Amino acid sequence: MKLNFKYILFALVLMLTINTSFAQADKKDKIDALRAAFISKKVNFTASESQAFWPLYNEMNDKLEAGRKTFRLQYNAKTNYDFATDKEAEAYLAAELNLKQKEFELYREYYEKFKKILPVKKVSAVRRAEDDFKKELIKIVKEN
Amino acid sequence: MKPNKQHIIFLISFVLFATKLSAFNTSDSTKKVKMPKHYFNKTLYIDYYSTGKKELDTVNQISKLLGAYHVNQFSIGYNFPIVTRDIYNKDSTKISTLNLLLTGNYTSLKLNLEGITPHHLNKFSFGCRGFYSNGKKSIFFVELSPFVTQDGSYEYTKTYRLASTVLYNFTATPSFSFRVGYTRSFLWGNRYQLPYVGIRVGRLDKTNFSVQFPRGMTLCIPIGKHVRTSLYTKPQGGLYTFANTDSLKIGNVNENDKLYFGRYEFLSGMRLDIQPSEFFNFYLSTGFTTRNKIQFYSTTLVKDNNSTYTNYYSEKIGASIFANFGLVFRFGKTKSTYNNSLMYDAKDINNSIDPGDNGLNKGNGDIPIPAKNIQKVNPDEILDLIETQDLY
Repeated sequence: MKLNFKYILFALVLMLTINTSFAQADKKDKIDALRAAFISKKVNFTASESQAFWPLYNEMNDKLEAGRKTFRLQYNAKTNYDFATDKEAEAYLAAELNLKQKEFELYREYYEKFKKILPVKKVSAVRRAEDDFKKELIKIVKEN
Repeated sequence: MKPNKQHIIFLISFVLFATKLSAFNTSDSTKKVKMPKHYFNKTLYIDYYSTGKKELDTVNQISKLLGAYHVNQFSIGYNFPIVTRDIYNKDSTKISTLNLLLTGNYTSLKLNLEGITPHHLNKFSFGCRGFYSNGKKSIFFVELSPFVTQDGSYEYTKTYRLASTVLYNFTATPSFSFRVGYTRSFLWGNRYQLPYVGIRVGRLDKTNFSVQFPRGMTLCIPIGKHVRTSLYTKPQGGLYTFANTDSLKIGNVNENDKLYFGRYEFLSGMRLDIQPSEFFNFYLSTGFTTRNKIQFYSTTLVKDNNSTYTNYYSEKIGASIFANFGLVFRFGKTKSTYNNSLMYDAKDINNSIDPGDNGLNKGNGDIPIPAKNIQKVNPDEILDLIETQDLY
């Protein structure tokens, strides 16, 4: 059978794309998907609770992630936290406190929202499930 | 093929789309990271479809002249979000959303009729679609997909048409939804205005069974985290303009320099969707085409009203095999939609109703299949989640 060059090129591009795509699979999305599955399993949502809860929970996580990513862009392992001046070190500490403060405010805001759509016991079960998820992750990292 | 105005418009819009993408890749360590704006990815897809050769009836004179029939279809298209608005209720606990997307599609159908020279029937579509989800259980969907068909470079065959769909989707529970609406479609090789009725049983991210008249019926079963298999049946076809360069005498009419050509195949087969990540999926599909039909319509005798056309030649063609594969690329970050069953339904509508009314299905690669358990985690990936006190 005569092989057409076009098809070979196409197959190569396809393989390259798949390979790149695997490599670029976003870390955050992987963890978010796992966390969503974990919380769903642990908290016994009704269909209507689930429909109301997840859009809000996703929105909260998007906001948390945007704040963390902004911080990470400025301060990350590459910069080695090696600040030339006291002023720069001060700015780093202030930025981190600011991030924590914003995260705290977001949690407070969204827990209030969750309480309006879920029984309080289920809101606490979500919180518990988040902690259990962290423990699960730590366990897996240790085993790795 | 000589580039014409439609090719240029398609290319310009695609370049604009691509340029916008590159703007997302700029990295500036001092800029504030913005939240993703949209729920839908910018999507680019490529689809190839081909049917096996079938001999036509030898009794009819036209069929005798045409000989045998098969088609090869290449399609490239995109959709990208332009407007997303989140609207909240008083206590901010319900998020209703409005999403507008632009769509574009170019499809080239190589019509192989053994007795005459092959025709390249081209179709360009530029349209838009909108979703309004009320944040509870309802989605309203509207699509306008104007398109132009032309046979090769024969400018005089250019014909403008409008395909459209209006839908109401009710997601009663994550495992059950129904859809009702209206669709103006050319998928069945003629101009039809049909009711749209559909139900789905089973979650979109798990095993589900869906009947969507007139679009098709699917049983979808995920295998692992990256593969979806499905058994399906659906129509595939279209209505095109055909340059009558072979002087086909259709009925008592032979003065037409152009004809309308309609075709449809009813596909029954198996499909494999592989989704390595949410940014890319590809699919392979094969099976049988049954109840195939080709038709010619005289352009001078059809009345240009909203009713269906009456054909002057039609031929039912026996079953053959088909092959179909496609690549779907999704770009940019989107707002999270994990377990958001209403947005899953919106994504399913977006993926299963293709721009350009070609009956293509991009696959639900943007709806993640939930992982059953966690296998391997890199410490870097969980840095944000862990506090020191979690370790003791």
